[in-house]
Amino acid sequence: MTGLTRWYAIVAVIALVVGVVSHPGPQRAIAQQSPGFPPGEWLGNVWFSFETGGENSFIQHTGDGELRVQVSSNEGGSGTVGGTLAFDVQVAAFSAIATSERDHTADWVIQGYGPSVPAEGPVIVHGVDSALFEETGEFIPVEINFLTESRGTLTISTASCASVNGTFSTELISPPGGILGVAFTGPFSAIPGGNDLIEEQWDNIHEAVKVPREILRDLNASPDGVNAQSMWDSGLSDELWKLVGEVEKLNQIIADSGLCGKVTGTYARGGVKHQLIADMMLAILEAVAKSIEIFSPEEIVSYYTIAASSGAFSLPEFAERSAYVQAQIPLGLRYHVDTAKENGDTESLKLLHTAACQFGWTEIKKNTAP
Amino acid sequence: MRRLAFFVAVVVIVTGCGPDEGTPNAGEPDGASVTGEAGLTALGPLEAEVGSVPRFEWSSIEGAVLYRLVVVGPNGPIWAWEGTKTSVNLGGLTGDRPELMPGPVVEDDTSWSVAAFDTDGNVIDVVGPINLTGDSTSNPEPPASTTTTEAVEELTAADLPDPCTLISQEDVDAIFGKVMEPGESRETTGSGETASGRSCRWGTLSTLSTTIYLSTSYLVPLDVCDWCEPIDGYGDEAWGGITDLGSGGGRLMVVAGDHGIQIEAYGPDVTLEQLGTMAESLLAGLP
Repeated sequence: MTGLTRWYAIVAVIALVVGVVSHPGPQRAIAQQSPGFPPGEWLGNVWFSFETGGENSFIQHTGDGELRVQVSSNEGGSGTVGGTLAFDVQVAAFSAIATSERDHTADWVIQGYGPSVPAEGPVIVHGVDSALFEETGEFIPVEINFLTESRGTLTISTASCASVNGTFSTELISPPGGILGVAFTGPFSAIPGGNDLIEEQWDNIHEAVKVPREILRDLNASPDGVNAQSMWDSGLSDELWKLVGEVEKLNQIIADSGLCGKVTGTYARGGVKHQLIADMMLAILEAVAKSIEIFSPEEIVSYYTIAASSGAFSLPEFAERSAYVQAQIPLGLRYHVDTAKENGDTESLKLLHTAACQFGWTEIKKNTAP
Repeated sequence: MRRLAFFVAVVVIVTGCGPDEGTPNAGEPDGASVTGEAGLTALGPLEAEVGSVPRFEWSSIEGAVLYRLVVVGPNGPIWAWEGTKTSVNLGGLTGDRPELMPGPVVEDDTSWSVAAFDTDGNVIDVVGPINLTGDSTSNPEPPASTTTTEAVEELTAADLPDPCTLISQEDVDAIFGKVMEPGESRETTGSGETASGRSCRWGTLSTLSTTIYLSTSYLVPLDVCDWCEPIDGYGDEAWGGITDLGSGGGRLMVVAGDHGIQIEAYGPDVTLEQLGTMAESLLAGLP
């Protein structure tokens, strides 16, 4: 194999690991009335979080974006949006024959109107890829540094006087003429800007988001995958409740601000969404549903309650995932009912019975009645 | 000869979150409040208009350090809350919600309940569900349970064969095209959609798993799963379907003589044919 062919082999291997995988998107966005950004100043964030793979290969995207836009007032419709979107996403991938670690930094311009607002600009990518040379059994590193232009779209699912929510997706970000591309998708939420109290509370939410995101990322990145004991011991439940509380405070500040008395027209529907929390909670409950035996009844009920509190079961964006979780969790809890009965664990039975009564799990309720 | 008697029971309202299923511990209504077994009292509201944002109130109870409020609508939980207070507005705002401010509201068939917990997380009492838009002491059961064909079983799980023995490990591996972990057999205690019976579960290290529930009868209508439909060719009656919810999966429910069979499989590529093949093996092996 010539040096050049070998190089192409490396490129192809890494492309298999990194390039063809893009985030599938959290959910299909359901736009009820083609919402756009309401007039005024908006600030918001995008959260990138994606993991897939297993013991032999793994890909993870982690990062944040920040947007700030001014929206002009157009009669009877969405205003023209102008602003900036900056994001930074780390990609880590490995397989038996290749690894890749890259950082993507972007500072884009947002310009458009309506439910799909385009954004574009340069992306700086740097990092190290490596591939296994069978002859030596060594991984040969290759530095990655390039600047490229790319584009993306903010797709709005709900907009109200209090928040704008949706999904931000990029096109494939590739080196000039190259094949090593990766695309990112993540949910975004924006809230009214220009109000110190609101912006301060938004910052508090950002801080509160960090800990549970890190816990979940570390757990997902571990070779054993999600570990129930680690999740519980790490205080994830408390951190999530804290996050829910911060969002409730933001709701209160927005309610007190009078902003929702000023906005009229088609933007008066939707919600201050706990979009990110709902997304996280559904991801947690999906993991729980797949390995329900390793989670305690107390833990399962706690996560389910936080999910309900975050609106995870009522946000249209998450309808399919919500339906899955609502069907699977009570089905899976049969295992814990049986186990508690076998062990004579009356407290767990009472806990399950109470949760079943409150959440309407008919069969669990019937089978845990003393 | 084993016998199985069927009757049709019309369940008008199933009440009760209390220890005794037969008593209405959705709480005992007392005019404007409902009280649980240990004294936890839901002070209100006992009814509310659709679209409203009520404030839920309950009494404090000795030993309680945490209360959990759950509000359930026709499509599942609308909102939940945990804390030490004894009243909270739907959605959590401390004052009135501005007219245009979005958030959860009372829907058709919305109910609420509150539970009290001690310092160890043990349940002290629970009140509800209290239906806000109908009978104040009714428990919002799924529509399917209002008229239910129930079976009075005289068989017990001990009369049933172990489902793990009705289909070989090799057959399960072949059906799903994967090497599954050995089947795990257990007795079930009447949970899920089946009566008391026995189950066998096979899993993989990936997301694929499959479980057979073998029981004496079905306790709920076979159309309990909204993505299932009637399927010909299995037993006396069969319903099944494939769902793309989560990582995907499917279910096949078969009534065959004295037996109820439920086959579930979860994984990205599960097909109804795979479930049907399992059903055929099971039916062939039944006594």
